[in-house]
Amino acid sequence: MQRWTNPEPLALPIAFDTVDRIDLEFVNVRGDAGSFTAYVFLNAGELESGATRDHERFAGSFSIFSQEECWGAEGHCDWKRGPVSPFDRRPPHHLTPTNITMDVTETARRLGDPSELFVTVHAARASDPELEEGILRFDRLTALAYVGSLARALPLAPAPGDLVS
Amino acid sequence: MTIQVAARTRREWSAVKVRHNITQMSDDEVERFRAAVAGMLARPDNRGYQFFAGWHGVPLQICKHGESLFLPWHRGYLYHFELALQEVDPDVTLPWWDWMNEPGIPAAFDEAEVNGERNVLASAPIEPQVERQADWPTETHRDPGGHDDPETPAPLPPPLTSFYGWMMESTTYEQFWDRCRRLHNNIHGWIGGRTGQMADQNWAAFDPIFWAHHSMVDRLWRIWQASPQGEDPGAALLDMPLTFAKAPSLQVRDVLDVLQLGYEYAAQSSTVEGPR
Repeated sequence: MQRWTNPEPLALPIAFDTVDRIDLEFVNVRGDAGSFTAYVFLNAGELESGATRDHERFAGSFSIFSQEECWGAEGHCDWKRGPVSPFDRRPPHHLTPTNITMDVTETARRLGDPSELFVTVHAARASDPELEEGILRFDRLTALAYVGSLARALPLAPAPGDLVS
Repeated sequence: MTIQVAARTRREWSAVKVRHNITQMSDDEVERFRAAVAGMLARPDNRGYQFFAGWHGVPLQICKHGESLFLPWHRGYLYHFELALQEVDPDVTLPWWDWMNEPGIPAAFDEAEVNGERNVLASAPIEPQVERQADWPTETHRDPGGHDDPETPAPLPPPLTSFYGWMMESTTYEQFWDRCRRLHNNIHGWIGGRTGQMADQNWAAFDPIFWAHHSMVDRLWRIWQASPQGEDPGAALLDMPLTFAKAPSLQVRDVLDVLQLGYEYAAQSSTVEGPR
């Protein structure tokens, strides 16, 4: 299982009691390392490895449906290869990264009055639960605070791994 | 929701076929569906099971998941597969697996043997129409919830009833397809478990329950489309082509109305015996 927590806090730039909704957005989550499931916790401190959906800091989960191995020739599963010309109207590569948005408002409220967020993610690949790295990869994590119909982007957290593009 | 419909004769409308919940089908209906799948498995050509499974996984891999084409592409995929089923038995339709309301795997897909013979809905051969590589699986199997450590992050088992409102309350197409896709991912992960093919895009469509799983996804989209908050995909998406390995090619706008594709979903029902 891979663990990740944003090394720098996501600070709330507006008073928590004025926030109507907080979303976390994991941007460009990779799908080229097998299917996996991730648990997301808020301000969970030194979270034990066996934390489940019952944990009071559990905010949500998501599953990625992907492929275990590339069976094709070199470059077949390279989602970065992209269009070959401005006239290339083919659809995106089947492993193009995706965004995952999660409403964490209720969990944040249970925390009381958080002025900053630490997001801990536990991710496990079903076929290899012992694997500790290379499962969860994304470009950045954004917290979006909604006040009424207005949204303000909070500071970005750096992504795990070395795949920030 | 506005849908452009082609003019149809009464006779054509009467040919619309109905998809059913697999657990509400009669034994005879299940058996006919099973026989049609067996018939497709016996065909090694471009009417056969392996041909269609290969669109989603090995070798063609033209499926769409991480984008808003997810729902239209899979609707078109099921449309093509169902037509091939009906070339074996014209009265057969794709059943759905109601993982939103029912626990576990439906018996029709779960029993290893039926009438003393291998149940092709439980496990099917994997024979991609391309040169086989040594480490490829040879037949499908499932590993529902298969994790050694229950405290390791894992998908939720069905039923996912508590997520129904969350998904159906979506107010835009973009929101709906994303939420629907996430529940779909969860089910792929749950039934595939640690070693099953349903958790791997390369092999998922070789498992016969894949089609019932996606029939459920398609049905949920159909229900949301008809709900007050249902809406068409954005204009930019409507003319997008959907890539398949077999004509007729479709655009997104062609798959918005299931009736135009010749099917509809049955209402669910429950029955008790009355006084006789």
